Amino acid sequence: MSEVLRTEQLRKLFGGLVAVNDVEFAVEEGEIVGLIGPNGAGKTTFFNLVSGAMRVSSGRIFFQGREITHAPAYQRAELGIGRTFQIMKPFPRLTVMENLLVGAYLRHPNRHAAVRWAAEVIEMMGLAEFASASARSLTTAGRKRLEVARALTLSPTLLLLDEVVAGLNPVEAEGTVELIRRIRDRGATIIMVEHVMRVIMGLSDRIVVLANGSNIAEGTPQQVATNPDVITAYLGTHEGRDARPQATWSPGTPAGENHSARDDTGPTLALRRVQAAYGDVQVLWDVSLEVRPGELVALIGANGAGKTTTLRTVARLLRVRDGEVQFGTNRLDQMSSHDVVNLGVAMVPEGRQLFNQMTVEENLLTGSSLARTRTLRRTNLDRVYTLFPLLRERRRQEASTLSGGEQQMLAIGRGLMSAPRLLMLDEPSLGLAPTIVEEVFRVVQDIRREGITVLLVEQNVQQALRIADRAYVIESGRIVLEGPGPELLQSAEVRRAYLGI
Amino acid sequence: MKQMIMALALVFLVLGTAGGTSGAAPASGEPIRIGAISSLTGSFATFGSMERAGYALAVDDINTAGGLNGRPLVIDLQDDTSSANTALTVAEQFINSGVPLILGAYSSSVTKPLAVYMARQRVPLLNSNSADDSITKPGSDYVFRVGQNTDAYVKPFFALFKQLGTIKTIAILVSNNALGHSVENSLLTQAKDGGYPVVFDQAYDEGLTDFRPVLNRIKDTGADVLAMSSYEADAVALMRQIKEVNLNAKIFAGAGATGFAIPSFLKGGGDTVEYVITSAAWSPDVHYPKAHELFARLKAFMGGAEPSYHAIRAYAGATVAADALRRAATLSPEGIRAALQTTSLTTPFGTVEFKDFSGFHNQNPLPSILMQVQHRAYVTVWPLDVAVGKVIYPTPVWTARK
Amino acid sequence: MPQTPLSVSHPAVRRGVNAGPWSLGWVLVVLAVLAFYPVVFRNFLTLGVTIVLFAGMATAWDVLGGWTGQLSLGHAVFVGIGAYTMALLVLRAGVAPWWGAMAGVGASVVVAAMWGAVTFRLRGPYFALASIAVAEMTRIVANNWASLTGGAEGVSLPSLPRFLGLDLFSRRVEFYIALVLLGLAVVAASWLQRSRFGYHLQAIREDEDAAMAVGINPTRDKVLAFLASAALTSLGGSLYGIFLGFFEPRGMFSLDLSVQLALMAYIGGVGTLFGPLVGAGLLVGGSEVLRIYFPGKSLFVYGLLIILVVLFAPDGLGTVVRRVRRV
Repeated sequence: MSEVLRTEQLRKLFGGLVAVNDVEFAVEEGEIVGLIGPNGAGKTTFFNLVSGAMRVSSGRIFFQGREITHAPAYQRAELGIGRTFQIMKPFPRLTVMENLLVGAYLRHPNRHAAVRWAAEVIEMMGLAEFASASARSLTTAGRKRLEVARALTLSPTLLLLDEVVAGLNPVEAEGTVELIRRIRDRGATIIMVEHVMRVIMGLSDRIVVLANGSNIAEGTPQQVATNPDVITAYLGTHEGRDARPQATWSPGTPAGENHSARDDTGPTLALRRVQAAYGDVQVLWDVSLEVRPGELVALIGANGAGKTTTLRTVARLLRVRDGEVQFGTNRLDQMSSHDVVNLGVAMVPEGRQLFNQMTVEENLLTGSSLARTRTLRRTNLDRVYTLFPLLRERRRQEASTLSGGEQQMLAIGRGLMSAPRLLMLDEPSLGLAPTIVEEVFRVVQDIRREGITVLLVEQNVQQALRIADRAYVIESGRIVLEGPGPELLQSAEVRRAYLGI
Repeated sequence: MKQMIMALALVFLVLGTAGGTSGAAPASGEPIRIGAISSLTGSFATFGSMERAGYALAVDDINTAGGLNGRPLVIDLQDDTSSANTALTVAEQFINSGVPLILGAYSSSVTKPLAVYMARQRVPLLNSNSADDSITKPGSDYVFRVGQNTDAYVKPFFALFKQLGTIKTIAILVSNNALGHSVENSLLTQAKDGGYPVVFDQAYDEGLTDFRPVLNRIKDTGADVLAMSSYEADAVALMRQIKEVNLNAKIFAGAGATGFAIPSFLKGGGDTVEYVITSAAWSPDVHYPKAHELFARLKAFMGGAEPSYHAIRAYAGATVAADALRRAATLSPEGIRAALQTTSLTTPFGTVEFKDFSGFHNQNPLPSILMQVQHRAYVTVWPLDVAVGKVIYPTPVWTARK
Repeated sequence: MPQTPLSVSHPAVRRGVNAGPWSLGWVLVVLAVLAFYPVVFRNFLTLGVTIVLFAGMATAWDVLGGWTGQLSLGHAVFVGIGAYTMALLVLRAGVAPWWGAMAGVGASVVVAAMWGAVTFRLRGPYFALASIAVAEMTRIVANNWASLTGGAEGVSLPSLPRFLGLDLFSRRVEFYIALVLLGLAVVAASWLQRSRFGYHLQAIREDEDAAMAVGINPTRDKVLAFLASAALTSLGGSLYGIFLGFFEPRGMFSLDLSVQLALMAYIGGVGTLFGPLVGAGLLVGGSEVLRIYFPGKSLFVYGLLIILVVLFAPDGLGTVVRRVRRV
């Protein structure tokens, strides 16, 4: 077998962040290689480097023994590297057939031959009935298929598939898996990034694990799944073990008193058989969970399992298709998102979503624009500053000048400005250095001690389970496990949900 | 893009000013119809409304006085939307419908393509208000202009300089457009003939708003006269900034009329425009027959708004047309063209004749007058036989004004 | 491998690809109908020349603006270069106007190549903004370089040799030359609709990253589209210069003219064969109708109509026809 792709010391920097860190990687002809790793591990960036969509910071890339490190993307396509985009990029106003014809022309300059080849691909991908439909009229599943089909029109030697299964229903997913096998059988070499573990574990000849931009493990699916480094990468570090009881963090807050009050503050959040969907893609299937007053509940699960969607459903940022969301005596699923906030439900979104050009204090004040909380602005502001002394120091600074950890604190602080009874945190530790992660988890505990009920979505499973009273494990939109945090920590089920074994 | 289209559409909305066509006349006999093209909408609409007033009053006067040998005159006034394309479309329709003479257009940018077309179609065009010399220089047998050429605007200044005696050097600052260059050329030629050194000569691009750097350089030359040619907004800005940089000259001259010779110059410039001397085609206080009275009637027709000399020139243009139609052997384009060539008519605007001189063809050689801003009003100061006031000279330095 | 591949004649496949020969047929039909204009509207030839000439230039604009998705608000540069190169060669060197027009095409192509090579590296609204700047610069240069262009006083064409025995100043002759130009532009567009190069341009318009991923070199193809667009626009400019008989930098290189071309394509529908023609007919013909029936208020009504079109047919009037047909 000959080598199709090799990277040497491949590195990509975004400002100070090392997105891909000296990755050494080689693929043999005819292989299917799975590229896995937690969110932000650098998988898509790696694809962008190999396909030429991004320039490398350093290192070299070889394709079939020939260096392509600085070749533009279109040359790599000509050479035989096909790719799909995770954020799908069809040519929306062209028909499906024309979408494919664009690529078909690359290998078949003659129109007749190009049309014939595009027709062959369209048939193989099961898109023939949509041939004359415009690409923008396709469903998500259809567009994903179109992504693959378009890459196939290049008759690629190497095919990079970025999340072509995630978001499909089981039947569609099965079809795609079958298709990928067939593509391989036609002679293409495939590298795929996929969050649906069962799929990638089943399909791949070999798996490469990226974490924080580095290649941390490599081997057969079985080897990788039992590799302790991989488990740590997915389930979080053990470093936060001693982070638990600290009263030092919130001066002026008698931690013990508040802590004892937890059982009788605020109403209970309850989801009953909730179904939710983005367009035609159903994400939540019969999700039921409960958060009792004063509790800290963690919701964990693999990427794309439906964690964020659950939070969005509670915040009414997404319509509930079926089922109930109850908060005390109120049915949240029948309210507007505005009213939900008014009831005391706050959400700190993933990625923080601060107003970068505004100062720290201005950012905080946007959190209390509701009539209910506006009068308490000063009080709440003082409370937040007491919780985060650093923010008081930086109150006049623009949010964009804060470090990642400080920005996360600010995002949480903004959530607290609406004086919530239930605070929902979406991946507060994402993209932060380990020491900062610890600090964030300490803050979460402090908030709970203030008597605020917390629903926490986290990738850092170890840390989350350690501090949570109870936890739910969600997999492919279904709650598969429930129990006290420390107990789940030991569970093999959790591992299965994450690694798909 | 969608927003851009909306913005554009809004601009059209704003530009679309009100108007209507000027009317027919009540008189006996079969009416004689001629065409007129002016800018009733678009960027030149202000001047189009002046021309409309002039044409309308002229038609009234002509038909009240018995029309054209008993037949009423009808001027079919069409809007060119300030665009050459439209003007050409209108002209074609006029000619196809048998109109033997067309009046217009207002702006030189519309008139020049129109003049080329009319000459080719062999139908006479009688222009009242377009300023560019090139309309009648070299011109054509079919294009006649009532309004002055730029040489005529510049000439009286040099007569004035000669009389004053103490003028030595001249600085020139004009806008970079056709009119500006015409004025610049006239100034250069006449300065050379008169033996006045030109110590500064520059054209600025339209749209410039900060003139101070260039004004400071002029200040350094210590020129006795600063001769300028600009459109409305620039003229006011220039005078304000001249005061700001404390540039003193013995005479500030609006050598190309236009921006320096309209009511809004007085209003916008305030006390900075005091003592400025500008050439002008016409002024209501000159001693031409019926000038005063006509000015009052035009003002009434325009609902109290101050008419500019464009209205009077349009009135004169219509009067000249009527005269030619009365005298023409046949009411054909050729007949009318021949009649126009022998025009010699005294109008409220002054005497109108079409002469060939120094490269011009069918150009009215009427000299222009000079007006000085005195106590925030225009006072005619030259030529002496029509003047109603005396020149204040030299212009007091800025620090000596209160 | 699964089922036998679809043959090219399979209806599903055929429907998926823009019907090639068919649209070319439509082009011929439309041009043939237009050829009767001078016979039917013999008193409105000037209007007809304006409509067809602007339709041709707007279609040329659309090669870049509609098919390639690169919004140019500086196409007056090529109108101006076409008109000036032709006129100056006629006046100063006694060159025949048609050779002058060819030289104008050459000059426009050179300018477009340099301009495109620099600005097509920019994505987003930068090309549009840069195009305004380039046009303004060109206008200022033309205005000040009086020894070459005649400067602000402008250029007039008193006489021209006959072209194949025809008087170039005759509106009828101008009409048919404009029609040939429009034909060229529309045939070019119909070729873009279905050719390999055309699909490249459309793919770049739709998504540049994805286009690169299927082997398209966007910068090169955008420059090529720009050259074609500039060349056709320049031909239109030469004819426009003859049509006017007199022109000056202020009018020829104006933003107003650039915007008009873009607006015609947008109103009629960008990236369609006949959109620019529909747009030119509506804007030029429509404004003439309005001028006659709403004297003094035509621009107001004109602006109002444009707003209505943008609100209710944002993809252009040409697409309304299609929508109605579907209903």
